[in-house]
Amino acid sequence: MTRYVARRLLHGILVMWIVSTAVFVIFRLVPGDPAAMTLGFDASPEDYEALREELGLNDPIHVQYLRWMGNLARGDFGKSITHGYAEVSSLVFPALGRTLELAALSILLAVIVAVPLGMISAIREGTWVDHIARVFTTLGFSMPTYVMGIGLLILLAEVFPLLPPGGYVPFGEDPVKHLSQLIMPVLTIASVTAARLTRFMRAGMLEVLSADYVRTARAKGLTERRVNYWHAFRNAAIPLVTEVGVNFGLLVGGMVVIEQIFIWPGLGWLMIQSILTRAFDVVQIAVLVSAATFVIVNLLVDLTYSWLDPRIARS
Amino acid sequence: MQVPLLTVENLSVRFNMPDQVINAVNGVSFSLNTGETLGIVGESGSGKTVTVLSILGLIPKPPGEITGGRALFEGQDLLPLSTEALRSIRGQEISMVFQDPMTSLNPVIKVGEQLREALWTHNPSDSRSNHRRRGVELLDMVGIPQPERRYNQFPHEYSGGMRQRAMIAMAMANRPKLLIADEPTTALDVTIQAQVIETLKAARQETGAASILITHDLGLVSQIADRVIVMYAGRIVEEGRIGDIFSRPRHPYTIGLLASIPSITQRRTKLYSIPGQPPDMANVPPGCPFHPRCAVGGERSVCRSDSPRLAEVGTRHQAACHFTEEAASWLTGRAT
Repeated sequence: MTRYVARRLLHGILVMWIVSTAVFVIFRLVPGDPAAMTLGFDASPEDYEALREELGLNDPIHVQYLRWMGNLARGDFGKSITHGYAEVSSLVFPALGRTLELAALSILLAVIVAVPLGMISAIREGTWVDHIARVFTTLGFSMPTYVMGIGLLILLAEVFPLLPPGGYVPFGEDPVKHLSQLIMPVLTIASVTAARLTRFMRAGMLEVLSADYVRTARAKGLTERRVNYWHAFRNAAIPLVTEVGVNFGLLVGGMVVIEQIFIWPGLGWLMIQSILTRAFDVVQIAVLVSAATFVIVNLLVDLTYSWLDPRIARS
Repeated sequence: MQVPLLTVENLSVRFNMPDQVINAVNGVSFSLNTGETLGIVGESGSGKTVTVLSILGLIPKPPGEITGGRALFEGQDLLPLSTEALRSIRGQEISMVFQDPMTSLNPVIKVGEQLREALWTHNPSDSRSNHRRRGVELLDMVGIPQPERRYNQFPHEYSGGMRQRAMIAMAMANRPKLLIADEPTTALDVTIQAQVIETLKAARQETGAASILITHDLGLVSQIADRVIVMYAGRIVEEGRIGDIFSRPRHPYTIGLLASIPSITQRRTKLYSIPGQPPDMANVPPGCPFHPRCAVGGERSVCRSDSPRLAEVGTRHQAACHFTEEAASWLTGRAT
């Protein structure tokens, strides 16, 4: 087990190294250089040269690379020139926190809906419950998030003005308002994710329900409830954990549109804003942190998986 | 006269597939006495497994559908029973050992837990520690070494043979009156097969249960069965006591099966095999379903038009063939 964890950790570190190298390379391959991007095209040659010197862009590429990696290794994410030399981490991490809050609540709601729905849909395959569940999942699947988001906005903020049309107030400042601002983005994301997870759960349960060991469980004289919710569910839940983890990871990096619609100052929102203000020093760290979150979530998923499935840790 | 433990009358089962109907079992009747062992023999798809699964209500419905017949267990017809009513029969009165021990145990639940569950579901008032003690005892009974330790292991930590032993332990847990073993050794190594059969025999002796052994291995049947049913295309084609079936088979299919067993005493240059393929169950040939492969009746018109009924050919010996006498002489002809 320890070896398994160590191997997974090492794997994660390797991925992070590749990502940080890729970020380094990409930001040096874009047309112009970071100095030109920051200053714009109408900057004076003197300003441009000074910034190049300040950013260390005149150093040989390998020196720049080692400095970049060294800073990352020490957890030094630098200061943002466009944000008045504020620490980049003071911009990125609060934004990450707000994104994680949104993603976690959405996933939680999605799982609460999807697991029972998917199971019932599979157990009662072909009945009206199943048909309704499938209509719901197909709808959730085929509707783009922004349509759902804008639809909710029109309905709940415009036609029936029950909720604020977006924005962000910290929980500590006004908990009620904070929560009311969460409702629409969470509903939007959860509906799509729930559709995906319901379908996954249904397919997984259907497969497991025709397994030999389910027949054995029935032949032993166990109740249908015990067969479905213990023997079958335990097996169907294992791949679901991965699916939930992958969806969560995708949400953290894929919240750009939703955060934009509901003006939620998360990581995706920060990336857009930083691109618009040419704060490349923020963008690169935001990308990196987003990737790191994905890696960490996957690591946690793998560990949960091995804990749930006795066959994995030992092999 | 003794009242049979189980009487199956005219059982018919079909599967309604989207594009075709498969008549898996067609009017099967047999009975089994207390303490008796019945062998059911036939090729894959001959309806052996579906027959016994139907008795316990274990065929998936849909697509499966029991279209007729009765299955009287101690006088009670099991076929119309609800799942809830069948529950008290399953695993308690009648239990099953399945073909593939690799997939028949739940991979994420400890073996002991699965065993304990079989005890608990029929005796919920008994204490957990009692169930545990009985579970370890059962593992010991089926010859699993270090049962205390094995009790807490997962199926993947067991070998194939051990898993099948654990399945047997589970099946015997509530001392059932009838044990059904569906090809219990087919998925195992030859060296393990004999051990598992011994375990089955011992378990049966220990509890005095009647048993049904489904197999395509005639050798195995001859070792442990009292009577044999030979099935072909969802029908019983021959039934009789073990000695009669082996020494005086009357159905050409049975004869073919026996002739295709390699013999140590007779050195045949070429092993006999029944020509042709088992029938496509969605398109069973008209008349006698065996006629396209039959070495006796073959092309005769009665075989192609009329499906023969089971008829007495000796004491407690029945065969479903228009030409049982010729079949018998065909056998004598071959042996000489």
